[in-house]
Amino acid sequence: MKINNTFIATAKSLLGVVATLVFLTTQAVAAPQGHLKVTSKMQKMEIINKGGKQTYRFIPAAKVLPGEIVQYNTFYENISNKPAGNINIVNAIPKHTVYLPNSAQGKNTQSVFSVDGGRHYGKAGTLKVRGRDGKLYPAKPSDYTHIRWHYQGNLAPRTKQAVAFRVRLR
Amino acid sequence: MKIKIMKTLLSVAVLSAITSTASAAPIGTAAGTAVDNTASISYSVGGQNQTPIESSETGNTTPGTGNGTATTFVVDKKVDLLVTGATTTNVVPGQTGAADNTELTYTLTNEGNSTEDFTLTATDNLALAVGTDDFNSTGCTVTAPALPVTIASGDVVNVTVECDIPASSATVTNGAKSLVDLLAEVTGVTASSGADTVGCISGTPNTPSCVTDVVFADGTGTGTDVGGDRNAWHSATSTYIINTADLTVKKTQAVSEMTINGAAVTGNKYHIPGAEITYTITVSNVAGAASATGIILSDTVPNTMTVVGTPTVSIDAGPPTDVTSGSSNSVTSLGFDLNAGSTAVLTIIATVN
Repeated sequence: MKINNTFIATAKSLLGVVATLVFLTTQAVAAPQGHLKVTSKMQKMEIINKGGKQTYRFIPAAKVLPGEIVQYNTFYENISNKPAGNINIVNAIPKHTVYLPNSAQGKNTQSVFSVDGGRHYGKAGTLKVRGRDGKLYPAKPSDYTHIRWHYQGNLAPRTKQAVAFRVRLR
Repeated sequence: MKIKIMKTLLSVAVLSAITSTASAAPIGTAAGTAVDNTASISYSVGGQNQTPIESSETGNTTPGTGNGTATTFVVDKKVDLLVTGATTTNVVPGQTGAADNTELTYTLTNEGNSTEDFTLTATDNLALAVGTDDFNSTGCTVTAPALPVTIASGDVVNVTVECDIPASSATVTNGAKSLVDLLAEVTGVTASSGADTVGCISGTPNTPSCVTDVVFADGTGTGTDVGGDRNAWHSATSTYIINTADLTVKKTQAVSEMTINGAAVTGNKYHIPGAEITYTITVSNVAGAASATGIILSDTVPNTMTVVGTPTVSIDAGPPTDVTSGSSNSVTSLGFDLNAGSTAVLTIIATVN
């Protein structure tokens, strides 16, 4: 009985190794590694009162209720040995959230916004949306659908940059 | 015409019964909703455009659409409710909720981001200084809606409470008030004042295993929930005001006519045989009170006297109306109504035998 058991266990683990190998191979063929590593992190921004002054702190976004603010940070790292240029980061404003005015930031970047699902972009304050009456009105931050950052210059090998924006949960 | 008016009133009543729940847009994103975020980066190397790379929470290097993973959080359950009262209902001592529909009205709003069940409790003997509470009503029950009531996020439900009003007494007088508190509780959660996280739909509260935390966000009520911030309770009070008729009866008499040797005496008059006595019985209803209906005044003139002519009743010095008298000396008025601030006068003239 004991021998039998061991045999089954060995067979099982062998099967696992085979499966993993097959998986890795498929991945490598279908999708070669790119030059950048892109990471999106989120944190909840909490407004707190500290000695009578309003300030804020960041906590894990484990508990988020309507009306609360979440900050997204997108890190991009050049993991290749060649400089990367013409870098554009596009982030759709998550569903159920509203972009918080003036919250888009990022070193050496220029940010533009879209109100039409990412087809056209423009600087904040220049965008217009069509009202129910057919007339054009200045877009509100709640009309924004996408943000796009353009990184000015090249990202040197083995360096990392980040952009960030905040939203309020509806 | 009368029948037509009644019909209209009836249809209005039916309508109001149907629309006791006002549907509104949900407040906030529904609990349990996953909010996803993915960034996408395009770039070039050596002047050659590369396949864009999507983000993941741990870092993604594989180019191509669909190879990233969304950075996701799940919207938590915000438990929040609001009871409003501050309505007044006029009642008469001795009215009962079951027979007389002594309705007090409140509203209950689900201000949370999930559909919840609520129970409601009406309390009449408040030991709280939340307003004038001259007397206690009894046997308060929530007559609408049926409990527990299920309310979607953002919806408002009209609540009706009926109590019994005690009989009139030294404290149950015209203008006296009785506060009735309505307390609403969210069912299925444990009231726990101030707790940031009180539960979890699955997993352990305040840990990553908790997918949807339950957070109390309700404010402090004005009745039994005084000081009860964030406890899944909320309360408010409405008021019964005694509005009954407040009658005062006064009877005076004076010699109105006296003759001696066939000549009328103009000076002092005396209660001598043959003299005419005028009895004046005055009934007043205090200003601000309710109208009294079906008042019947009766008076028995002593049998040593004879009633002259027909006694009359005059309201607010209006034209006198004759009253019937049961037997010659027993005077009984017809039923009449007396509004607040009005006075009725029954005048009986009788001669001394």
